Amino acid sequence: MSDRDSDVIAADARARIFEPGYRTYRGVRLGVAHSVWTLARHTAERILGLKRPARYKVLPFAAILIAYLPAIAFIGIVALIPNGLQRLPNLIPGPGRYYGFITAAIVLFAALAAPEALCPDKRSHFLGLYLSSPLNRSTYLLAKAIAVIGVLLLVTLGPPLLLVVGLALQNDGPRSFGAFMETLGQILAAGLSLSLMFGALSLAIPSLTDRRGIASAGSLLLILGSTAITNVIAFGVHGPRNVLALSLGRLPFELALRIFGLNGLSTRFRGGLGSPNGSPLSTVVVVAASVGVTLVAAAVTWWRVVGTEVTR
Amino acid sequence: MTVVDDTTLEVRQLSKWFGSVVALSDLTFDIGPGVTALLGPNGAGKSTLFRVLCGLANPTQGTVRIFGEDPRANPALTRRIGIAPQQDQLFEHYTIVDFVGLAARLHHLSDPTASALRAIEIVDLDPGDSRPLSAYSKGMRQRVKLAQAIVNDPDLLVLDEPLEGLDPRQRLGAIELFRSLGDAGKTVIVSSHVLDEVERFGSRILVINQGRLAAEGPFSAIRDLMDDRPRHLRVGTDRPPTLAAGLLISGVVTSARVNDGWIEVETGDAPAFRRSVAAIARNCEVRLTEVRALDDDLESVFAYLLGPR
Amino acid sequence: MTATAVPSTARTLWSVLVRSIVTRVRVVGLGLLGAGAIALGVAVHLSNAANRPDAAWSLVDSYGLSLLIPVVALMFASAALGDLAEDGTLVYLWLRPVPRYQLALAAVAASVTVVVPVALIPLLVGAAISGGGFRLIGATAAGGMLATVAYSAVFCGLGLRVRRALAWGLAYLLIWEQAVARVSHGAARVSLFISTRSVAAYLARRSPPHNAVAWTTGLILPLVVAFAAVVVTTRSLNRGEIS
Repeated sequence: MSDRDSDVIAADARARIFEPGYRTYRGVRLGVAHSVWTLARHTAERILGLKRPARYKVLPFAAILIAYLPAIAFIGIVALIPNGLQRLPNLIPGPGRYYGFITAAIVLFAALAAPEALCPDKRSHFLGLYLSSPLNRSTYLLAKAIAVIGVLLLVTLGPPLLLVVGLALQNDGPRSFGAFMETLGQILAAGLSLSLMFGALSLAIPSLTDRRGIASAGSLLLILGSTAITNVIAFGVHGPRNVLALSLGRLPFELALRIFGLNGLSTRFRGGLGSPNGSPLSTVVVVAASVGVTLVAAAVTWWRVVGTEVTR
Repeated sequence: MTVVDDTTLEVRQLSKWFGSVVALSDLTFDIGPGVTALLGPNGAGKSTLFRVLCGLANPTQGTVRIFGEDPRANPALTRRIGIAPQQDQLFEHYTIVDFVGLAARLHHLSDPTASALRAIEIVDLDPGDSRPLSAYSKGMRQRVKLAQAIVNDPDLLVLDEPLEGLDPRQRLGAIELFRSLGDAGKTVIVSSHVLDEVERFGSRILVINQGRLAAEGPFSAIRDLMDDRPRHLRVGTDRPPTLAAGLLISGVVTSARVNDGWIEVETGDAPAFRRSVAAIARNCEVRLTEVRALDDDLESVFAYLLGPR
Repeated sequence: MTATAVPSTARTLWSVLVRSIVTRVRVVGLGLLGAGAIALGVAVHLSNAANRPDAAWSLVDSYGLSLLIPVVALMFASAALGDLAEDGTLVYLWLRPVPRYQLALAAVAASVTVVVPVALIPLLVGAAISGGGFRLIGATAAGGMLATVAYSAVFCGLGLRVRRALAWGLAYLLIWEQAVARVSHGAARVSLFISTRSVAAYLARRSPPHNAVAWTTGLILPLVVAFAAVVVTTRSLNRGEIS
């Protein structure tokens, strides 16, 4: 007997008539994990503007393109003028220094992605619909975080990966298999750390509002404003240099550099943290600040989403 | 196209499309003083038509002339136009006097406050209400929109679903207002779904469906033109089965159904039926008490124009 | 329309638009940013006197002209006509016998009216408190006012023409102004960001920013851009579709 047979109101050997009204679903239910994955996938599609008119794809794909362009350019340079590179050894950056070329793209992408994930649900009152499914607030937030972090990996993991693979194909990457795998591991760790940090930071502001534009502007102001303020305090006022650890626009990139064994001072890296007295911040401070900022931002987001009152 | 004296609005081969979606297709009509109702189902293109008529949107093809001028090219023409749009949003933080007074000031009226107060009283709202418009109900907001539309005493008034949200008493008041404006020589265009109230406007209708003009003119005249459809009538008599048989035998009706003491007949030639029903009743020796058309109303006309033929 | 009606209409429009863009969330949120300029000014004032001129300049250049004024102008200016177009209330201003250029100018004026007290004045106060001197205050006023007017004009038009004006404005500020113009001399020549900072640096007798333009270019470009933006906005109001 199939699961539809209970909806049959009349039947004989030749025909059946089914209940014309509402019929409950009696099939297999795939569980919370599937719900989380479905919502995460749908959110990622929304962030990238997929399955929507072309104008919704312009900004996200422009940011993604800007993130990949330098890698494509560097690979092209190596391919076209391999011998010239011997005279300009620092021309092609390693994957760690590569982030310095795409900081704006990553920050912009994060500021646009997270509001797209959270704000429309609140504004359209769709959150109530999600919560009437197997999802609760925590699993709903988990799905959103997976989507945002996953999408951010496109710009934090993909471009340096492309660079290393492209250079390796030109015989200009890590010299041994071990070195190559080590570099891959560093890229993975750096990309993930950047995505986690920017994902947490950029989700915190949209959790406070249902307007995407205000959330994007707020995220950007938080990230850039903290950088400007800490720069003034550390370099202008010569305050405590550890305040630079609160430079939210630079801290994630400094952490990424430390994963590669570099720092913002040694590389004169535009995106990393400088220091007013010539010596870089200790790695412990950088890691602690990174973890702390991420946890605080995540806590704010969780507290707001859990506390949101759904009226309809 | 029907002839209209003293044309206020001239539309010629008007089309409007958005990408691949055709919102309006080849509309040609004139509108003059009096009340004209614009009817059509949801998505027919009524609001789009209103926006094009007022110059809020560009026609993709064709022309619109208000008092002989292009509304897009001449902002000064807006002195003579008032519009109450369909969307609900107003300047939410304003009071009613502020909002209607703003309209009066932007129209450069000599005494904006007095004009605003007058318009507010006409729509039966309280000028002394100090609440922001955000606190107003749907019906009150509709009347606020109406007040700002009439504050400059426009010659052309365009009202998109103005009866929506009004209670029955307010609707009657609004209809009376539209009729009085029409009688005063203003051109009033009203869109509505409330067919029985549109009938009370007592004037022309424009029926639009899927972006095309389905009919124009007084609805009774439109009805009279629909001679490819049989008419339904109800006949009252003391012996319905006898009269029904007589009508069928005479051939003036195509069907007859006895129902609760009445006969409901269908005829392809209403005038011939009316001429002969009395004689048939006499021949059948039955008493005739009533002959009434069942489909001579706007709803029937509307359903016919929009339904499959 | 009489001669006296013109300023009256413009004033009315300006008043409506100011009321429309001043919301509690915007003022409080962005006001905190402005307050940050004052707090930084205090911090600079309390710092070592030898560092004060550099720190004060850093406050004005890195915080005020690079972040505070552009973002605050974006938030208010994009809403001046953009909010009205989005919620359908622009019709209540547009379908009136009002020249379209007055509506465009009123929107820019409304944005400037709000950006000045929320962003520019706190920045001036911060510059004054920091002890950078009258020259710095004058430079901040000039550069800040140029930036306020130019960004307000550009973002008013942006708000009218595109739906997600804030997102596009942020992308413009972050990618074009802060990234491309910093590295490309050609782009710097047409960058409001570089122009206003060049003017402020010239007046404050400070080192010009990277890719700086001549102070005359820096003075003229924002004004030309503002004028062009108002023309484009007027044209959009004349020819565009009003929801």
